[in-house]
Amino acid sequence: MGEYRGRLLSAQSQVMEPPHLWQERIDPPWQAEAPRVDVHGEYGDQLLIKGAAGLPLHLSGAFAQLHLKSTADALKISQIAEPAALFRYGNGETPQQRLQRQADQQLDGEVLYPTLGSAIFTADDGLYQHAACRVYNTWLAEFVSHDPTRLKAMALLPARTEIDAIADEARRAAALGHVGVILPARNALLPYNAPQWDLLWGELESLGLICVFHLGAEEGAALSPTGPGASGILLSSGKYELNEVLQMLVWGGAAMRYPGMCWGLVGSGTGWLATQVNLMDHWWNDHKGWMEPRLQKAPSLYWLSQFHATFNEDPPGVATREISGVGNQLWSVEGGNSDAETFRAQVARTLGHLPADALDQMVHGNTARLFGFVE
Amino acid sequence: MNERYDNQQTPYQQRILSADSHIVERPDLWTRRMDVKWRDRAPRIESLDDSGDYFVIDGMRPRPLAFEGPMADLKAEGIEIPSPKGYKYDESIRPGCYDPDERMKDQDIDGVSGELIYPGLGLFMSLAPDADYQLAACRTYNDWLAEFCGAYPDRLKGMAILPTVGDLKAAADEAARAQKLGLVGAMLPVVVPDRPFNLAEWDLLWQRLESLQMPCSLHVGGGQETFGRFRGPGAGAIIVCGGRFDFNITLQQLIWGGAPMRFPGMKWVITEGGIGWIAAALDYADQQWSANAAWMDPKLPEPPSYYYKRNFAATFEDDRAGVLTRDFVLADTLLWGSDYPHTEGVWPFSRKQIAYDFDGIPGKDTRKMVHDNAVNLFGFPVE
Repeated sequence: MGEYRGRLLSAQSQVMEPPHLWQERIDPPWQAEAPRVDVHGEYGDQLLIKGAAGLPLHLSGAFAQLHLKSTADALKISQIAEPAALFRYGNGETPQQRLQRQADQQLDGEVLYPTLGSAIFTADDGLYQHAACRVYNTWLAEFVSHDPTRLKAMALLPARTEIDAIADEARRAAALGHVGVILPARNALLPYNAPQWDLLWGELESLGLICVFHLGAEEGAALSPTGPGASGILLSSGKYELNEVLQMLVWGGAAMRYPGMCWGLVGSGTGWLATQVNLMDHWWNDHKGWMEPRLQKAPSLYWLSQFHATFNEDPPGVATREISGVGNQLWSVEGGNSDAETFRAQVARTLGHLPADALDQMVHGNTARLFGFVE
Repeated sequence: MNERYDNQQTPYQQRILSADSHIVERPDLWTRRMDVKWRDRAPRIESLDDSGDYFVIDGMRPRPLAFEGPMADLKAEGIEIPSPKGYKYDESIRPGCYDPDERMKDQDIDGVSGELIYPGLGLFMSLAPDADYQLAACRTYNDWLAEFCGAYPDRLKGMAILPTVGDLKAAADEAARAQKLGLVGAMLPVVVPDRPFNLAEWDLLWQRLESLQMPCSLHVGGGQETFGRFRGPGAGAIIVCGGRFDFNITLQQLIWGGAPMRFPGMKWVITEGGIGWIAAALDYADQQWSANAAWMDPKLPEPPSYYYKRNFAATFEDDRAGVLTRDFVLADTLLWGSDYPHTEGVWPFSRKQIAYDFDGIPGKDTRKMVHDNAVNLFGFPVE
C-alpha cells in the first residue's frame, strides 16, 4: 500500500497535561478542589473535578459516564482493568517530548486539544470552570510557544459562566496566541441557539478565532440508557450530540448573522454530515417562509462556508464529500492508529484513492488554512 | 412548479414503488367506527379554535394537522408555505389521502406504481396512555386501512399500527389479526421512552412477528422523540433535522440489546429516517464492538453491521448521501419512498428526485432501491 508522502497536519491531537497542573497554578480559592489526577482510583488513576465522582482515566468519554452510573454494565467494565494493569497517567509531556513524538510519527504539525482539560466541561460551577480554563489556556500557550509553526493551541472556554465572562476568556486566549476556542457539545449554560451567544460569536469573529465543539467527558450524558446492551447503545449513540450544535447554530441564525465566524465539530467524524445538510436544505426549501429566523440562504451554504469537521478513518464521509465538502473535512490523528500501521500508511490506505487535490486539502490544506500553519 | 425541481434532469423512467406513503384519516373514522364504549373519547380531527384543525387523541396534547398533509398542494405548486397553522381538513387535505380511487390519480400524477401506506393521525396513537383505548383505536384503524388498501391490492399495501402500552401479547395478537386482514407489516413509533427497544419484554412481539414473517416498521413522528425538548430560535427545524439520530438510538437499542441475534428471521424497517447516516453509525458501532464485545452483555457474536445487513431495512425520500454510501450497508437494505402527502417527501416530484439522487448510480442498484426491495419485502406484484 505504501505511505502518503505529502505534508500531513493533524487537526485534532491531544496534549498530555502535567497531572498537577491545576493544583500548582489555579487561583487560591479553588486550590482544595483543583482538577487533579488521583492515583487511588479503583482502576488506577482517576481525574477529580469539583462536584463529580472520579473519572477513571482509562475510560474515556462515554465510558467514564457509564462508570459513574454504576449500572450492571459498568461493573463489567472493571473486567477490562486487571489489578496488575491499573492505568497510570504518568507525568504528562514536555514540549520537547511532544515535538519529538510528532517527528517520530512524521507529522508536520498538530492542533492541540486537552486530555485532562476537557473534563472541566463536566463541572457545573462556572467560576470554578473559568479558573480551571485560565490555567489550562495559559499553560498551553507556553507549551506551543516552543514551536508555533508545528503546534497550535485551542483554548478552553468556561461554558457554564455568563457569556461576557466567556468572551473575556476568549480575548485573553487570543492575546496568548491561541488559534481557536473549544466549547462542549453539552452542559453549556444556554443552548447554542440562544441569542445571548451572539456576544461571543461577534467577539470571536472580530478576533479571528475558530470555535470548535468537542465531544468529551460529557459525551452521551443525555442518553442514560439502561438495560441489556446499555454500554453499546451509549457508546454508539453519543457522538451525534454534535448534530444538535450544528442544528442550533444554523437554524438559530448565528451563521447567518456572523458570516465571518467559523465553527468546527470535533470527535464525531464526517460520515453523517452530508445527509444532515441535505435534510436541512430540504426543510428550508419547504418551510423558509414562516420560520424564525428566516435564513437568507440554504443551510448547506452556511455549512460549506463556515463549518468543518475532523475525522480519522471515515469511509462514508469520504464517499459523500461531494455534498459535505472536500474543504470541510480535516484529517486528524483523533482516535490514533494501530501499532501495526503508521499514520502515513493509514492515510494512504484510506484516502489514497482520492484525486491529489482533494487528498491534499483533507490532510493538510484545510487545516493550514483554518489554523494558520504555514504551507 | 416548485423551483427546487425546475431545472433538474430528465425524470427517472423506470417503474417505482414507494415504501413510505401516508393517508390522512377521515376526521370521524374513530368516532364512527370505534367500539361504542370509546366513542366519546375516540381519536378525531377537529377544530379547537381559529388556528386550524387538530389531531385529538385521548390523553395527548392536541397536535396541529399542519405537517400531516395540508401543505402538499402548496409544495406541488411552488407556493411558499406561509404558516404551519390554520389548515382545515376539508379545505386542504387531498382526497387521495382517504379515498382509494382518488389515490390512484395521485399515484399516477407522481408516476408511482404502488405505495406502502402509513397512517396520519395514527402515527401518534402511542401517546394515548390507556392500553385498552390504544388497542381499540389500533383495531379500528387497521380494519379501515385493510378496506382502503383492498380497493387496489396490487398498488396499495398497508402497515398495521400496534399498541405500545400494556401487555405486548395484545400487540402481537393484533399483528396476527392485521395480517389476516391483508396488511403486510406492523408499525411502531421510533421512540417509546418508557419501553426502550433493548428491553427483553419486546421479545414476545419480535417472536410473533418473526413467525408471521411480518416486517416491523419503526416510523418517525410518534411524538416522543428526544429532540422535542428544543425551544427558542429555529426550534421547529432543529427538532425535525435533529430528530434523525433518534433512529440511531433505536437501531443501537435493538442491535446491542440482542434482538436481531435472537430473532434472525425478523426484519425491522427504519422508516422516514433517511439512510445517509447509517453507514457512519454502523462503522462506529463496529469499532465499539471490536474493542468491547468481550465484556458486553449480551455478547454479540457478530458486529453490529452484520445484524443491520441481515435484519434491517431503511427508507428515504431525498438522500443522495445515502445512495452514495449504499455499498457500506448493502443496496438490498435501502428503499425509496415518496412520503406522500408530507412536505418532508417529494410528491409529486418523485421521478425528478430519484433522477437527482441516483445520478451516476448503476441501474441495477437504483432499481433495487426504488422498486425491487419493496417487491421483496412487502409483496408488491412483480411487473
